[in-house]
Parts: sequence; structure tokens; C-alpha cells
Amino acid sequence: MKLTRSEKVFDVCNIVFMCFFLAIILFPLFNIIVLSFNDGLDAIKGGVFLWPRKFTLKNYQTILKDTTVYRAFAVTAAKTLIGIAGHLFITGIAGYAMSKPYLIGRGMFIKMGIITMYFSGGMIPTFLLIKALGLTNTFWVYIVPTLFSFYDMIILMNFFRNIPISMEESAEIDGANFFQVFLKIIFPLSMPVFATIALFHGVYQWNDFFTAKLYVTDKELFPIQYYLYQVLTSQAAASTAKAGVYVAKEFTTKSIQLATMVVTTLPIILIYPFLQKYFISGMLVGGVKE
Amino acid sequence: MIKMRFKKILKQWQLQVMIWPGILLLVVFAFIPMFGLMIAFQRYHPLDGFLGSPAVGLENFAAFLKDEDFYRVLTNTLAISLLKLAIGFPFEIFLAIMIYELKMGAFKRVVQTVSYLPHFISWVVLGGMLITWLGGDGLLNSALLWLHAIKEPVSFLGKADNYWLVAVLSEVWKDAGWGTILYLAAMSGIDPGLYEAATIDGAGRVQKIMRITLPGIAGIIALMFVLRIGGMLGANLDQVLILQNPLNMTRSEIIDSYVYHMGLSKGDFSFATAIGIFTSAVSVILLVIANFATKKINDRPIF
Amino acid sequence: MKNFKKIAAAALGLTMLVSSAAGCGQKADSGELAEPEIKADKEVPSWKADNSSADLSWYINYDWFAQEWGVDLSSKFITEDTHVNITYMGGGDEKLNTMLASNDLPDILTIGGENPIVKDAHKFAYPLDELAAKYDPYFTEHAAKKEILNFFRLDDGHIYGYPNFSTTKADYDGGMIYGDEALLVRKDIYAAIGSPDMTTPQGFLSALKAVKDDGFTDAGGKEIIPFGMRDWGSGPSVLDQTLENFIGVPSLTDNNEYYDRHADADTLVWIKTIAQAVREGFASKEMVTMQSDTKDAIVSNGGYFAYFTENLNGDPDSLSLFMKENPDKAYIAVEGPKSTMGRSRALRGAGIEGWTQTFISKSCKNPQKAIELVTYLVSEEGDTVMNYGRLGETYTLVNGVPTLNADLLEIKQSDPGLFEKEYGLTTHLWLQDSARLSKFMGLDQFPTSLQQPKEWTQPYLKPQFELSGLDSCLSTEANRNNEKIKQDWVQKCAAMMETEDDAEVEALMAAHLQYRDANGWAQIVEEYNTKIKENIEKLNP
Repeated sequence: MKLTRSEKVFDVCNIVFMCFFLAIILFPLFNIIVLSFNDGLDAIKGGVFLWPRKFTLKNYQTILKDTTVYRAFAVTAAKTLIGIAGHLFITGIAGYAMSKPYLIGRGMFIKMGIITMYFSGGMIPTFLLIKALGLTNTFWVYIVPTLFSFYDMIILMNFFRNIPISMEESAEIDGANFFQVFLKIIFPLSMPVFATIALFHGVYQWNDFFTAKLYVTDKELFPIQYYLYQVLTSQAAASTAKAGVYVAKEFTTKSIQLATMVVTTLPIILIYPFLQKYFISGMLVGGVKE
Repeated sequence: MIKMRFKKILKQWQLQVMIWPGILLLVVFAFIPMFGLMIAFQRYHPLDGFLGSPAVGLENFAAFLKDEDFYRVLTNTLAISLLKLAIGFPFEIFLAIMIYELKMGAFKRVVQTVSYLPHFISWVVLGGMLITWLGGDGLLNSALLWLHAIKEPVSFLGKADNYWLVAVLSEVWKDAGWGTILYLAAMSGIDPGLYEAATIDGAGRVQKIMRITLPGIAGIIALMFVLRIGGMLGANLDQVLILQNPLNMTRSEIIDSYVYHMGLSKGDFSFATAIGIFTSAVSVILLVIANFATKKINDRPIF
Repeated sequence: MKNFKKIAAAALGLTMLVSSAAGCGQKADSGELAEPEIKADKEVPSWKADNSSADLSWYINYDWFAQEWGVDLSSKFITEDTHVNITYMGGGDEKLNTMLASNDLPDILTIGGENPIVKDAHKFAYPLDELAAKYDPYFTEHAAKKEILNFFRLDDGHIYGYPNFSTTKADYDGGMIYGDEALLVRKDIYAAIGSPDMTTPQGFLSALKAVKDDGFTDAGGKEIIPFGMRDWGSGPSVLDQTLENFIGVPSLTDNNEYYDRHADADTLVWIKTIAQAVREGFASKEMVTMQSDTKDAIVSNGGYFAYFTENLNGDPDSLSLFMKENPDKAYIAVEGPKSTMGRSRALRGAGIEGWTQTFISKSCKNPQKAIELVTYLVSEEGDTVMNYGRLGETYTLVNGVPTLNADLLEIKQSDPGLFEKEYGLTTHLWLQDSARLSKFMGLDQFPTSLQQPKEWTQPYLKPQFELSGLDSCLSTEANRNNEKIKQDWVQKCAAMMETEDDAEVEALMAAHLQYRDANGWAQIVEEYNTKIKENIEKLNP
């Protein structure tokens, strides 16, 4: 296709803008990686920006030789994958049902949902509930309470409403029930939004350490982000100890903290490019045009 | 009457079955713990329990409603949220459109991936770096001086008047890319045939954006707008706690940090819950108004 | 809407069910304690006679706590001696509060002494004195320090929490206690400007001026910043208490009441001096907003001439780094600000309130073994095993003082992480007597860069035991007011650092005092005085 002059100008401007945007985002991220490869003690002196001054792999070795890291990775991977699957299913079917204006009770469910978006009982009552349900110190405490999200349901519902009714109707005429319509028509047609919600929820599951902090004492069930959280708070350890005797502790340097952050964040970042194919424009809707 | 209703439900039993797992989870995990809201009317102590803590009526509400600092805090919160709505919200949409308009596939993917990376860095880590870069001889001042945009270094964090802008722009930097994801998902649902037809009609790029892309995602824009209005009273606690300092505190203290300083960090759950009820009630009202407004403009409400 | 009401009613009913099932509210007293397994003896700790074993859980209320029991040598020795095996748990205040609310407590808990919950220990913990009387009287008779037992008694006369890092009057009398506050200067520059007297406002300012005028540089070739202080957090760094300690502003009035240190005339003189130093460009423009990272970068490059710190223990890495690379330029402590009214210096030093307190919870499975473990760790014998291991195996006595074997010391210095994991000596410090260890180790406990400053603090230490735990005793309302007043104080201090002249500083100080009065200061002082009176009674039984 031949581009007109103004189209070219537009593209050039866009590319220039994006390069500028990338630069201001990449610089700090690059700096984090550089610091994580720099000797921790040396990094205290500051001035390390674009290249390590004292290159070392020690920060990464320190983390990767800690065997608890691997188990924590496994826990996180499991809770992320299972969490996404359950969340998409429960929230998805609810969103589909709610997208039907003739659903009986719809108005009430919306009211209830809005209330829960803003009012919550708080930490202690929730803890008592989780405990009464026997979820504390089980893997399911990561999954069950997050199966349904009203917020995500609203997003899904709004996408479902954009799907041409005619698609469903033709399926219904063929004798399909609502479940079949959902699985065979709605789900494939809504891949972009399902991918989005999967990403949102996956990132939530990956990053959440607070659930573990409150409800889990079994070290075997700690997720990787709890490990990161402990590493990030460990600097407070030194200053918490009041003057008494001087206890030489292993010093968690900033470089180790950043290396931990890189290690714990990298896997979830790498997932995105795989999800991207679901965002390719018009991939599906174009194909189902009448 | 009841029989008719029952019949109707029976007719759509499949839909009802689809909604009930969600409703049940909502009731169990969101509604049941709400009995905890009663501590707003108590002087709650974890050791005395919900039934054993003394009731104090509206004392906890009076404590912040009578505190003149609270109104300053409320103003800060609203101002920062409004600025975020005025700058961050349109920028996300703009960025999403620009990414969508990129023609080169590989470059597009790179931009998309990179733009959402800062979302994954915690404010604790990011804030520390930001403070250094915003310092007197930090990167930003050096760059601005080099460009002759300013005559002498600006104290971005040491002047209360600059705080709102720093808070808004740093959040845009961190989360704008992440915020584009939903819009991009919506754009992928736009029929490519529409663009082809517009090209044949001789429409330019900007015209296509205005006539096809934007209307195509209008529903999602309205949705995000309403949700953002509902979230106006909750700003970003992690961000404030790291960027706040004694010199900008008059402008940087927001409701969440106020609750943290005056209540939670002292184990004063009752006070924190009372403020929570207040902000939640206001948020719901804002949300309902916004939903009503979009119904007027958008011909259907988002809920 | 009707349905909604029904649902709400159902939810409420369910709620009550859940909350009662979860044991909400106060738990009834757990009944009588079991009869002791062995005959308790005042002179012999029970762990020596009691051969039964127990598995106990021990919760440490710090998020960063991630240690394991039974991996390192130290904890293995302790289990060998006491037959108690520990499962460690860590967590923060959120976890502690939820555990307390659900009455689901581990056997032993360690909580920071500043946590207000320690006042209510009678609701969740066994009195240590009662447990001791029944199972292990050696605890009260010999293991515990009398002064600590007196001081930590709650209103009901019982002692629930035993502290670590608690330093008593007797410990001070015995020496080898060190302070944490110092004015450090780079010794090369100090000598170059003629070792001036920095104790008076004029002397202080002219020394900084001399440094500024002479254009010294740091290790990176940058111009020296004549004056700096530790980073500001929620308080105004050294301006909060350290400056006042340096110039000896009293902490109590003559009739033992709270002395308003910030309102003291001498405090104002010195704050004005520091404000002037900032005004004349002797300090960084970012002094108030600076973070610890930047401060560390400056100190490790020797970028300050004078560095005022209230937490020497918190700065070892940057100071050591600079000293290692520039031994002839290292920081030394000098006589900093002194009273303009002839008062003598009174540095803070370690307090009797210590750091954490350890409790035996009412849900403890085996109170007898728990008190035996506490007695063991508190006693000199157990404390020494925890710190040094076994005599002949990991340490020897040199002139009666335990000394770690040379090979272990080597590992400890070269790879503290490995040492902690393999040997864990001094790791399980939750009931440590830090004063005893400090006495054993003397100045050698510190990295070289801290030794001179630490030694300098020693003669000026004046413990402020009477002021222990003032803020954690405040009532809810006073607590909120106190938080507001503290916020105002740090903001006013910050503003003082940006003033044009002395009059502005005075106006800001006056404004702060006025703000205090308008926000319930009188009530706070009243509550302080009650606590001070209580403290004094407990200190002099």
C-alpha cells in the first residue's frame, strides 16, 4: 500500500515519540540491572549508572544458592496458573450471565458488587473468616478468595455486550445452550479481554505476598514475592536493633535487593510476549463478520 | 406472582447457575467480614474482640471530622486524583492509540512490552531512585539545565507546591504503559474492514483515529472513567510514603497516608475503619453519579 | 431490595456464627497449670534435671525474620541442653494482631518493646514469675536481673515479658557500655584547619567556614560539603534529641517531671546555629529531603567534613568503606556542640527498656519447658552457649573472658552470612544480655571505623531510664495528638533550615509551641508525668 505524505509524517512522529518514551522508561530499568551486577559494598559510593564499576555475579549467586527460592518459585507458578484458570472461569461465566439485561436479580447483584468494591470488613474479620473456613496454611488460601472479582467481571461484561447478538442467536437456533454459547462463541471471540484479565490476575497472583504474610506460617507454602519482601525489609533489621551490643549481621546490600527483584520479576514479565498474539488487531472479529 | 417469577428463573436456570458461584464467593469473602465495620463505633482492641471492645458511638468519626488537618488531607487527595484524571487518564488512551498505530510489528511488540515494565518495580525501589534523580544535582535538573529550560536547579521534592505534579507525572511514568493494555484489547476488537473502507473514502490517519478507533473503544473509556471517579479518594499510599518528606508534607499527605500515620501504624483500627467508612460512602456516591452521567452521554450505563 | 435485606440478615447471622467459632473475644482463663514434672530447685535450673523434651513454636514479630532453628551449631547446642526444639515463625504487626484477635497464639512470642500490646500482656501471656515459682524458681532467683524484674512488672505486680538488649544501672557501673551519637569529622581536614574548637556556636560555624573556603575535595574529586547529618525520616534527624543530648538539656525537671527540651533556650541557640550553617551554604541543599542511600554515598566518599549522627551502629558500612580506602583521612569523633549555659553533655546510651520482650503465651502447650528455655537463655550459662558455643569446642577462656576460636572468628569476619547459617553464634539473640556480651568484647565488637567514636561516647553516657516507654503508654487521643505534634515538629524544623534570619527561626519555634498547646500538649505531658513517676518507682523499689 502506498503511503501518502501526511501518513509518513505521522509515522515518523510516532516513532520518534515512542523512542523518546522508551528511553525514559528503559534508563532506570537498565540502571537497576547494572546495579544488580555491581559489587554491593562498592555501589554504596554511588555513581554507578550505565555500566557496573565492579562487576560481580555474587549477588545473583547469593540468591540462587538459597534453596528456598526454588520451592517458592514453584508455589508462585502453581498459584498463578491455577489462580488464573479458576478466576477466568468463575468470573467469566458470571460476567456472561450479567451481560444479559434480562437476568433475574441482575440489579441486586450489581448493587451488592458495588458495595463490595468500596466497603471491606478489614483485616481482622477477614482473617477470622479464612481461619473458620480452614483455609489458613493451605495452598487454597491463595486461590479460593480470589476466584471471583466484581471489578474484573464488570470489564468482561462490558466486552461481552459488544459482541453482536446475532452470533449468539444463530447458535441458539442450532440448539446450543448458554454454556455452549459461552464456550464456543463468547470465549473465542473474547480472547483479547480474557488475555487481559488473565494478565491482570496473573500479575496480581505473582506479586501478592500479603496473603502469605497473614495466613501462612508454613515456610513450604511461601511464594517468591514473600521472599523478595523479606529481602527488601531486611535493611530495616539493622536499624531496628537498638544500641546495645554491636552485632555484625550479614549486610543485605542494595545490589542484592535489586538482584532479588530482577530474579523474582523476570518470569512474569516474560509471559507478556506470549499473550501478545491475542491482541493482534481485528484477528477475530474480522473473521466472523456476517 | 411468586410462581410466575419462579417460572421465569427456571427458564433461565443456566444463566442463574453461571452467576451464583460468583455471588456466593462475594457473599462469603466480602459480605461476611463486613461485620468488622462495627469497630468504627468502638474502641476496638484485638485482645478484647468484637464483642468485648467498648462502644463509643461516633467518637472515631468526630476525631477526624473535627481535625482541621483532615480537610487539608482531603483537598490534597482530591487534587492529586483530579490531576491524575486530567493528565494520566487521557495519556493512557493517547499512548494506546499511538502503539496501535505503529506499523512495524517487532517495534510495536517491543514498545508494548517495555512500556509496561515499570509497573513491576515496587515504589520502594523506584522511589529511592526517583528521589536521587529529582535532586538538585540529579539527572532531571542536569538535563533541564543543559537544555536551558531552567536557570537554576528546581527542588522538585523539597517544595510543597511541586509535589502534586511530581506525584502525577511519576505515576504516569510508572503505570501509563500498563494502563494501555485494556484499551489495546478493546482496539483488537475493531473490525479492520472499517479502516479499509475509510482509506478508500480518503480519510487520513488522524481522521481514522477520531472516526473509528476512538468510537470503537468509547465503551471501555467510559468504563475506566467511571471506575476512576469511584477511586478518587484512594490515591497511592506506597508512592506517598516514599516521596513524602517534611518539606512537602502539607501537600503530600493524602487520606491513605493520614490513616496510616494516625491510625494503622499505632494499631488504632477503629479510627482507620471510621475513615474507611467515610471514604467508601463518598466513593459509592461518586461512582453512582458518574455512572448516571455516562448513561446520559453513552446511552447505556456501564453497570 | 427485599432480597437484599434477607441476604444481609443471613450474612449477619452467619457472621456471628463464624466469629464465635473463631473464638473471637477474650478467651477464658486456660485453667490450672499442670503439676511440675520434676522437683523445682531454687539453686539449680530445672532444665538440668528435666529430661523430657518438647517442640515449641516461637514467633518473632519482624517481617524480615527468616531464620531456622536447628540448622546452625548454636541452636543445636541449645536444644541439646534444654531438650526443647523450636519452630521459628516470623511476621509483622498485622500478623500479630490477627493472631491475638483469633486467640491462636504460638507458644513463645517476641515483640518489640515499643509495641503498645506489651501493656496488655496479662491478657495473652503467663506471668513469668508464676511459671518460675511453680517450675523453675532459678529464673527469678539467679538467672534474671533483679532490676529488670522490677522494671518490667505490670500494674498487677507480675512480670510477663523479659527483654533483650536491656542495660541496667549496674551494667553502666560496670563499664564497657557505649553510646551511639557522635559528631564525626575527617581527621585530615580537621588537622589542616588547625583542629579548631567546635563546641561553641561561633567556633562551630567558623570551622565549617574554614573548610568551605579552603576548597577541600572528597575521594571522587567533588567539593567537600562542610556539614551533614543522618537522613531525616519521620523526625528531624539529630535535631530531635541528639543535639539536645550533646548540649546537655535536662530530660527531667528538678522535681522529676517531664522537661520540655525543645522549648529550652539553649536548644534554640544551637538550632539557630545549624540553621545559619545551612543558610551560609555549609550544608547540602538536599539535607532535609536526602535519603540514606545518598547520605551513604557521600559518607563513603568522605564527602562531609563534619557528619553528625544519632546512630553510629547504623552507619558502619559507609564509614568503614571510606576508612579502608583512605586510612589517613578517616572520620573521628570530636567534641561537638556544647551547652552555652554550662550544662554538661548527657548522651543517651542503651536503655533499660531494651529492644524486644519475650512472652510465654497462654496457649503454650508446655509452659514448663517454655520457662525452662527462657531461664536457660537468660542465664549466664545459656547466654554464653548462645553467643560462644561450647567451651573447648568453639571458644576458649582468655583471662576469664570467652574468646571465639580463631578459625571461627575468621569465618565470621570474612563471610558473616555463612557464619550465621553454619554456626549461628549470637544469632538467637531474643533473650540476649547485650551488656554482658559488650563487657566481654569491649571495643573489639565494633568495626575499626567505629572504635574511636564509640570510645569517645563512653564518658558522656547518662542513661535516661526514667523516660522509658513514654510514647507507648499514651491514651488513644493523646496518641493521635502526639502524632500530629511530631509531624508539626519535623515540618517546622525543616522550615527552620530554609530561613533567611534568626528571627524566622524563632518565629517558627514559637509557632510550633503554639501548635502543641492547641493540640492537647497539656494532656500528653500529664500522661508522660504519670509514666515517669511510675518508672521512677520501679527503678527505685
